[in-house]
Amino acid sequence: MAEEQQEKHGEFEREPVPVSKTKGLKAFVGMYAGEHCAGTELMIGPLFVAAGVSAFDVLGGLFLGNLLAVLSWMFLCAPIAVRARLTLYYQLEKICGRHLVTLYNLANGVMFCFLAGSMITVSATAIGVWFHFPMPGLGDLLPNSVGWVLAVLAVGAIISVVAAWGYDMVSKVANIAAPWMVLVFLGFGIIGLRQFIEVTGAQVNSLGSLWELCQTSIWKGGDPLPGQVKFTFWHVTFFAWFCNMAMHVGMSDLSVFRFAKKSWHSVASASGMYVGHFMAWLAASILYALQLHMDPSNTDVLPGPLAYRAAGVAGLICVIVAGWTTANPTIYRAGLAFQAIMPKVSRFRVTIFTGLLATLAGMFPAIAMRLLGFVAIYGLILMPMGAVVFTDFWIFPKLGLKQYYAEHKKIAINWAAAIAWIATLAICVGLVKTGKPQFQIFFVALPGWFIASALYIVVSKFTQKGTEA
Amino acid sequence: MKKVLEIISYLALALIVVAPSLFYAQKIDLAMNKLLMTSATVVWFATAIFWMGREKKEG
Repeated sequence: MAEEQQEKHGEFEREPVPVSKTKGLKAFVGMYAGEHCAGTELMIGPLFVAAGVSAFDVLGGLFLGNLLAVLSWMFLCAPIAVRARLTLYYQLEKICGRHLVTLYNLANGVMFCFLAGSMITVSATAIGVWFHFPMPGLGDLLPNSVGWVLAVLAVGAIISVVAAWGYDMVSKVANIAAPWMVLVFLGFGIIGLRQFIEVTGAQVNSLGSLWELCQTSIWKGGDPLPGQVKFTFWHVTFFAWFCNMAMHVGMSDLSVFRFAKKSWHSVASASGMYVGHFMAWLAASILYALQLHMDPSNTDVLPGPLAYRAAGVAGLICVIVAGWTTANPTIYRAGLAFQAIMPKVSRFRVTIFTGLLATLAGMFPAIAMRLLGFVAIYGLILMPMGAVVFTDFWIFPKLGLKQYYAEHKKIAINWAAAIAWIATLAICVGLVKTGKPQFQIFFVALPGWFIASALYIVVSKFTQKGTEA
Repeated sequence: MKKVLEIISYLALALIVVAPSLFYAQKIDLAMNKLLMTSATVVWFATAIFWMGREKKEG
């Protein structure tokens, strides 16, 4: 079973995907819509409200940010994917060398663990509705009750064992759940809107009056809740653009679009962005705004109770399934990244270890409650390698520099790529530390991409001296 | 049989969004909305599992 799975998921790991195995647009539409309607959407929407967004800022920012994300897939990631038809890992190995890819895998695996941890946190909030133990509040960084720890442990243990044994089974459940989950999210929004109309006594009979309700009651703007960063139009735009930065600008989805017949098929990513990162975020944020409207002292961002109040048991199932089906492949991917470092340890053991690490992370609400910042850090850490791949593929031939330098020189570390990665992160952290608003963690990855590209070119000029292109 | 299950599945899926729409239009109350959404969820999973994602056998 495990070997069969490995074969299935490890197709064409070290060779280009043959044209006969490529897929059309339709194959990617469903994949993206399902993958980006996850448990974490139920945290992100409410956290926007906690960050004090206004109606125009959240709607306009999400529209623009998601558009930029789709364009990043279309013009940065997919054109390379359909030309090289290689996984990111293999392409990186050719550029950076085996040792540097190992370091990249470690960073990627750890990030995936934390992300899976926040998904476990989301699922555990549904357990709290049934067992009534104290759950963490918006400001909590540490676990606050034995019940919470046990709930996360139970959810995490089940997810880990299933990830290790039954990846295919969960993948089947995830496929079945995807269309249902999208509609439940839509339902959350419709129900929340009706409840808002009732509690405010607003008369909504036109688009104008609906907009009035949005501005005055749902996304009112103003100060953020204590401990949260104030979100403006640009924060929302950049967050929506960069929350999947590792996948588009960071090139992780080279592994996905190497199967695309045409580069423009990456427009399918719009299904994930506008269903998951537009509709689902807005729907979840409406439920949280309603909670705050009813009781301003209740600032807890707990997807379980939010969903239960709106849709009853169906809502709870949605929270559990959304967290479970997305945590599962995330743990699996983290396991793959770690296994690349320890190839002799069995896939089962690595996945169980990874799952337990994610479970431990999930016990600490700090990650879920600070998810907006964590997601920005996640993208930033992996982004420089995307810049390296882009520069190596398009710019190096024009400058007479050697592509796939590590493969060419048979070296384990391409120092130009290593310096571009580490120095970019150091510079970006330095920029964030200046405290200037334009260099907040949500924005700094944009100049970071240009810094990484420039560093890679400049250092390669030195390291490649005497090498023929 | 598979076709019948498919139709039932799609009806359940439609109910997931029809129930909140009826609640929005004030045709049903929240308790009824929750009941309909939960019932539709059970029906969707119980029926879709028999046909969704199953490849058609050739020959």
